[in-house]
Amino acid sequence: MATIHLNKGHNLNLAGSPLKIINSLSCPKKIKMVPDNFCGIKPKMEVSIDDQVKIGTKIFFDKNNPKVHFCSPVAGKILDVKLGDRRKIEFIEISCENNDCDYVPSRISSDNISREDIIQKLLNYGLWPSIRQRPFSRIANPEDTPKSIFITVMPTAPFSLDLEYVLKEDSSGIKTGLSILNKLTAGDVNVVMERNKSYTIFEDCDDFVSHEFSGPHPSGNTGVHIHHIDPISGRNDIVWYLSLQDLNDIGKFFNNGIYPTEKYISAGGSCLSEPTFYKIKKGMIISDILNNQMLDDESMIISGDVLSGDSTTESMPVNFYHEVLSVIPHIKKRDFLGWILPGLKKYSLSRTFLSSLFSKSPTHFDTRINGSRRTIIPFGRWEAMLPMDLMPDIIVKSIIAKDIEDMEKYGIYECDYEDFALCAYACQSKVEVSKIIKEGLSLIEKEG
Amino acid sequence: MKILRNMLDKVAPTFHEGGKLEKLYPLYDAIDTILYVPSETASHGPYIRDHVDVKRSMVFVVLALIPCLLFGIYNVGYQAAGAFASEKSFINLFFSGAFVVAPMYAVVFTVGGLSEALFAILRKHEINEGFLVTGMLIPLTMPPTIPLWMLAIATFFGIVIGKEIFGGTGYNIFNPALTARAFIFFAYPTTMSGDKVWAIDGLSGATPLLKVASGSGDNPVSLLGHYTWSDMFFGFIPGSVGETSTLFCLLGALFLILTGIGSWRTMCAIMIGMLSMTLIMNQFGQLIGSQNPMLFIPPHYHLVMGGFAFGMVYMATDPVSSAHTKSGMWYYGVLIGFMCVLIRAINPAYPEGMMLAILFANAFAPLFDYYVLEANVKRRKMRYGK
Repeated sequence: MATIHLNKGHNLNLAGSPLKIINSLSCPKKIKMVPDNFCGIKPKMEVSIDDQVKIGTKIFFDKNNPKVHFCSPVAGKILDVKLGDRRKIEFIEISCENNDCDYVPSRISSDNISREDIIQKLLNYGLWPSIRQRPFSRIANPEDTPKSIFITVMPTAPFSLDLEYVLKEDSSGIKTGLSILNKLTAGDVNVVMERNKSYTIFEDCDDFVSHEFSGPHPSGNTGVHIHHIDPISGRNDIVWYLSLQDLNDIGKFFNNGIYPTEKYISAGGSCLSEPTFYKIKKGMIISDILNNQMLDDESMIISGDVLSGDSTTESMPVNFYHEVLSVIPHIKKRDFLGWILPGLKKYSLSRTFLSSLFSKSPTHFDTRINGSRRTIIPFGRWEAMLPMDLMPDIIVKSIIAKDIEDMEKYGIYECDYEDFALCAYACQSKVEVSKIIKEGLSLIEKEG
Repeated sequence: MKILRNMLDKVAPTFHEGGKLEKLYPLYDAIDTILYVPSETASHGPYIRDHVDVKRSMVFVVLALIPCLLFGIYNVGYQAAGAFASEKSFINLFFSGAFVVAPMYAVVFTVGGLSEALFAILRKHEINEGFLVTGMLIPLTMPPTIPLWMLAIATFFGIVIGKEIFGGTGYNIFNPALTARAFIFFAYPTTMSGDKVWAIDGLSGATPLLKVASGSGDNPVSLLGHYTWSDMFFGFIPGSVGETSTLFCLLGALFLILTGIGSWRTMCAIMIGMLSMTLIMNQFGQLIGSQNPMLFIPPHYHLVMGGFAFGMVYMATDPVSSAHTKSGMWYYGVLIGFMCVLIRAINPAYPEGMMLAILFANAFAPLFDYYVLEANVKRRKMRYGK
């Protein structure tokens, strides 16, 4: 058990924070599954258009790892399999007709079940993809044994869910989930909670090591927790991680055989008229979620938080792994003499705007990068945003130089895209720090 | 403002790819982005970005220099008036100073701007705002008596050899403004010979540092003549245009630290280095019974003499040529403080040590960073083993 306070980083005070109300949405007419949500897989269809599918029916699998199946969260018909360039599957559209299950729901005892059986069950019933590994943030390889497993209960990114609040009434699977995970790892199952916050959802659970973290974003990121508790030394030093919701789902599945079809998300951003938490069907498309909210052309929809999410469109679902949906203004207006005006309304971490003295109200951010791109000038803003014992500028430079040896030496395996998002946010030269980290990771995954 | 925007948009295609003046795009881009913040939006996460940019960061260094500049202009007039200074009005002295300083800026910004633009066009990179700071600094580090042609050559050298041949702002090893200063120092030893470098001959004589250096004995304060500590602190002494007033340098330092642009670590470390080296030198002087007055200068005199304060606040804190790591900055700063006093006290050739101390530390900065990095690698390895 560790109690760690981190000073570096920053909590952005963005306009449009979601209210703590859970808006349960009724079942939509159709959902979409997007293979691109799962980084690094090569999808191959197991069903074709017009096939009838049930909840838990295998829809596609990963050609790189044929044991990993991806299952349908709804029962209905395959309406469309949209292919893009080079016949890449862009999405699979499934209608929602009834609640039929592909198998008979039954309790699976977690007491005497072996590790192999657990893995077999998780793979077969499509629950496996929710377990991911570091380094590389890929779906975990069932052949590996991780040195530990991490679950974070304290997301700190803008507009994040309050997991304790949403799962309060619905946490029946956590206890079973934790004992299942304990069998998958040789080490600890680490649950990271916010310091000085009481959690009722873990009340009768004991199969885990709890840690307490505090500090601004990204202190709630799994990568930061791994770095401080059980750091990754190389590509074969594997840690698994999953979200608390997925842990709960796995536990519930073992408790009563119910395949998880719903999840909680939070929707926020200054473009939304009623930002709240939602309970949605997995794969539900965004226009169905935000159906009663004002959305105009000048807004950007981001699946995930504004720092590490991906831009998407109304007709696509929220990413499989994301628990946040952000909608912020997307305008191209050019400000006159922005480099010298006092800037009462311009939010900045740099203390060069008057807003840093006076304005404490939530800020309306838009997608402009607010400056010209320049070479890296080390003003120390990256270091101030990264609560890890790593040297961000030297890692970024070694990636730009494609120097694999240096990347490894300076700790690329401990890095993840989302942990560096604030560095990119704060950079005055507008260097795409987190994108470079992502490129570095995929380079080293291929060639390291 | 709409008209201006429309005008810029109208000529934009001429400078874009395929346009007639495509090669001059950096010039168009510089003017366009000075007037309006670019409209580029994030195509990749994070989708929101801080409002600070390099332009604003650099402009804030320029703002921090303005008090020094204004006082410098006044002081040039004040020193030029010599014994008659008290008879002339403030405005009068200020304008007589401006007559000397304005042409220096005209030359530096013309030559520097042209060489920056030339390289931007040839090397196809943007015109970087770093030039504003360099251009602002160069005249402030020069004695007001410098011939303008010499200033022009120095500026060209500083921009091209100090910065552009390395690839532009962000890649340079040495501070470009100090490179320009060093060039004058070494290239024109006859006009700018060591012991006259910081003196304004023909205006009002030797700088305090020179007075002490050319005297002998163990009481440097008595050699200063009519210059008191407060004269030197407020800046009513001869010297380079911007360096004389420690007060305004410290005000600039406060501004840089409060806005987070300048590194307080570097500045503190330089003070620590200077203090400890001065104490060592004082003791050493007593020990050997030296008659070199430079050995006996007390620390608070080192602070106000010569270019120490100016170099500490504006030159050493240049983020590109200083150490990049936080702990590296401490070593880097202490080295500057050490070297500055060492050169002042021991070097017989010339009394000012700040310029060479900073250039010397610039050269060593990557070494400090290297050791900080190695320590980081080692520390992480230890943690993996746990």
